[in-house]
Amino acid sequence: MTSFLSWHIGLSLLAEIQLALALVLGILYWIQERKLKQKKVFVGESSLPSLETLDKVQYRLLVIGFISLTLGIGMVVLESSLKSKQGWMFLGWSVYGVILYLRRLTGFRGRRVLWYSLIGFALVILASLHGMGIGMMGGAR
Amino acid sequence: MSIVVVGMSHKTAPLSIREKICFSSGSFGQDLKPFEELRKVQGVEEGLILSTCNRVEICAAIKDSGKDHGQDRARAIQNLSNFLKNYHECPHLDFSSYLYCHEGKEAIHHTFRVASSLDSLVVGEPQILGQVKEAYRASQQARALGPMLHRFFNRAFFVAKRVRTETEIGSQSISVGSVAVQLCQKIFKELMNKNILLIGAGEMVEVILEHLIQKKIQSFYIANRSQESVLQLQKRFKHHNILVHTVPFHELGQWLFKMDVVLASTRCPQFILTQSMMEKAIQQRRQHPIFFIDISVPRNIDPSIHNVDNVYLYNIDDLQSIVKENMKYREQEALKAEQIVQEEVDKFYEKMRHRNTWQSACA
Repeated sequence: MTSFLSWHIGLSLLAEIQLALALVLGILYWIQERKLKQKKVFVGESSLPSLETLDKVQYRLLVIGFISLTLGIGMVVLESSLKSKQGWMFLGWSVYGVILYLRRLTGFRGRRVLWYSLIGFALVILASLHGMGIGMMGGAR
Repeated sequence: MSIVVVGMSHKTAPLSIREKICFSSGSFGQDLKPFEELRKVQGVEEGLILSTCNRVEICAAIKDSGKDHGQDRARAIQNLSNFLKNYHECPHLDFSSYLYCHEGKEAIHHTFRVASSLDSLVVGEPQILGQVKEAYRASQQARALGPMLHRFFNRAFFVAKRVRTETEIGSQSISVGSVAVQLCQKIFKELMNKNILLIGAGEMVEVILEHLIQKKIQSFYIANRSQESVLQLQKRFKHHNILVHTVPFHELGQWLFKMDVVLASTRCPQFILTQSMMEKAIQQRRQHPIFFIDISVPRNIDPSIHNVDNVYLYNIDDLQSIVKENMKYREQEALKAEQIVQEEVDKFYEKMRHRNTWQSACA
């Protein structure tokens, strides 16, 4: 395994963890927002953090997850054996890029971020699974 | 030794009667007269006086003569009710129909319920435990407590704590003001750095404002047609070191995007804030959430703004329905609390009975 490949795997894994956490926070935000919109906030519930807290932490995780993913993809460019994986990964990366761009531009948040994150995360995971498949096939040969 | 409780509460006596026999907090702190008088009551070994706005009661440990326990207790109860009458110099007043008298296991049950806020006017309110602790401290300072009541009240505090931790009896807000503030906190982590706008300066706005002040807000904006009410509000909150900024009423739309929380309570017959104003404001503030509380009747904020993303609007009915739901929830939790209290009463009573048997054997 080349050092580029090791860095790529490490950074991608880190990005996936951060983006997964961001996704969880997005779901919690959506639950809290839904309760507030439906005016069913208090009855016998364990309290979730405020929307503001969830949004702040989710945004930070998206930023650092995006940076990790960018660096991870950068390593792939230098590793020719994983070129076929790039397509999915790049698509996922683009979705996260759009989220962050819209966030800066229009304050994009809440439910919409959740849907975009779901798509982005699915693409990133798909790319990783595809990459693992390539790795295993390489190992078998 | 056994325990008796004699007193009256909001459940048994009207205020006009309770006020005649209440012990002012001054009489606890300054002189020890009530306790000195209490110690003179025949049959009473130890005593504690609990006097709050909703109840006045004496909890006493009485010594059994060993012959007829029932008669001893009845006599002590009679002496304690006479003490209440005589101390307050109203010997002609017949308040026997307002008094409750508990003895033995019933007295233990009653005191554990009182300390756990199950017998309060607002079930689950937290003040009563502090008041019982204060009464305990005052009685201790006056040397009116002995080992029996010391053990008993420490157990009562333990039971109250257990009820607080094992149930959610006090977790839900049951006033419109506190519900409004808790809703704010579901959206914003802290309120101290938030921009709060009051439209109108009605009584209800002040109630909610009081709750917001407890959350350490440092300033607020106010838009009102009458400058007089604004000046009154400014004067009122001056001592809290809170800055009050005024917003011209006709420029509300331009200021809206700066605000995080908006409280509306005017007598205006039409909508002051509309959906189009809100859509513009939310874009200007880059989708940062904004929370509206409309407690005016007729409503001042177009209800359709609740459909705008990141805008939340609650009116007086919404707040009151949350209060009602919370009350129901408290009642359910109170049932759990009653079980805990009963369990603890049984344990304490058993221990007390064993101790009494052992002491009689030793004697």
